Amino acid sequence: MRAVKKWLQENNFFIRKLHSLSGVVPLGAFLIEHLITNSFAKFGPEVYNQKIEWFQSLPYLYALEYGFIFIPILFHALLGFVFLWAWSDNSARYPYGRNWMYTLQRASGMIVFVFIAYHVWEFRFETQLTGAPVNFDLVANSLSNPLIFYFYVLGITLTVFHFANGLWGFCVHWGITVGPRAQKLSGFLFLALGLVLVYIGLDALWAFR
Amino acid sequence: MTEIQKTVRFKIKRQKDSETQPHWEEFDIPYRAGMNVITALWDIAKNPVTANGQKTTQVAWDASCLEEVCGACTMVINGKVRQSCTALIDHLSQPITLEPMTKFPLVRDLRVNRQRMFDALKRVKAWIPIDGTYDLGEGPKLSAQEQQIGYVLSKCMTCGCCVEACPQYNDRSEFVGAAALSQVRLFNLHPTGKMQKEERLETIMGSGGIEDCGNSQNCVEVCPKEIPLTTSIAELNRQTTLYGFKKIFQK
Ligand code: SF4
Repeated sequence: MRAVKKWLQENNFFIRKLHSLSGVVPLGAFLIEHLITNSFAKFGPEVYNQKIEWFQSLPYLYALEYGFIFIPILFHALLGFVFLWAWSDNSARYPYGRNWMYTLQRASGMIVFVFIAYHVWEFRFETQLTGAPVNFDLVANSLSNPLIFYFYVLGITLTVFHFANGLWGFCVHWGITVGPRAQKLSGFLFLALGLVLVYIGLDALWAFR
Repeated sequence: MTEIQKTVRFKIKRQKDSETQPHWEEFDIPYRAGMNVITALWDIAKNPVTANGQKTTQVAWDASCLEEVCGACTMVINGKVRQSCTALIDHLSQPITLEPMTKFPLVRDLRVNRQRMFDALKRVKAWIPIDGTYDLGEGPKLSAQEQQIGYVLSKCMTCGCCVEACPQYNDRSEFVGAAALSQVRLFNLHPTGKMQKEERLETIMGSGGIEDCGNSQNCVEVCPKEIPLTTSIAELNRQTTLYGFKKIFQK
């Protein structure tokens, strides 16, 4: 614990920057790819299953999965939980728009962590243990439970929110958007992006119904 | 002839020192046109009797300039942090609640110790070193544009509003806060101050520095001097990012 704290303190700047960057690439990039790929479900089980098989046939699959998805997620999420330590919420007392976004970013992050943990367990690790094939039917079966279905609606929406609002923060954090006008414009831009991604994500989800 | 006198109701958080538990006391102060929270506190000092007639001690608070340039009389009024000298009674809903700022060690009643803010200014080297063993001569000229930006930033009175409203500033974090960061921007902008630009950037790249900012942007909302604090922070994000790349690739 002490060693972790010391490491965090000594490399504070680069760790924070890496935390911010990891949310955009690879995680944000993967999120976009993942939501779009899922949309193949709209063309029916066969097309969707073909896409999954294609992904499963990729060379260096494990390296890709661990290097670009699992490890970055754990890095981003666990550090995120560490940073939460300094959080003292006051959005009720100072109810400004940005303050709400600040609070929602943290709240969504925690929920999304649970969602992703469940999602990855269900469709990636549990199936690996049981040997069950990962395909359209597996997803459709799971989503036939309305509780799980609406958990996914919530999870996808919050994940996209966390990503889109995170992009806004990324632009400030890296000194890309500096003045209030630039920050406002980027806010609208990422809101639009978020809406599009939520649409794509939920549309694909409904294709499994 | 009895004229019913208009009064103003106050609810004040009292606390003898940081060890004792706080309690609330209410006061009715005779209304006068144009009065503000400071003048009301003066009235209480003259006659420290609560609304239900009990004699009590004087309320302790800080004030100095009475024109919103010193920052000393900052407190939480009706739930929002601000200066009490410019808090006009006519603009406040009653009962008017007065509380000390929550982010600093309490001294007594409404009085707190803002030392952490001054320490932050020292930490970030918010000054321009011009002392030497010989006369350094005139410095470079300041452009009119830089003057204008710098003037606004120089109005900071270290009042503490920005950090009081900051969710990232508390006793679990060592965050230096928006005010100190904005001073780094001011001195990095100055043509003579620029000579220590990287030194100052180093001071805010460690823990408790600029990376502790969570972009809630409350600081800019509550700053009584309307200092563009979030622009200062984002500008420093740019400066530290570029300097960070320089450190990686030039060493
Ligand atoms: S930046 Fe504004 S709110 Fe913060 S200490 Fe200075 S004057 Fe007060």
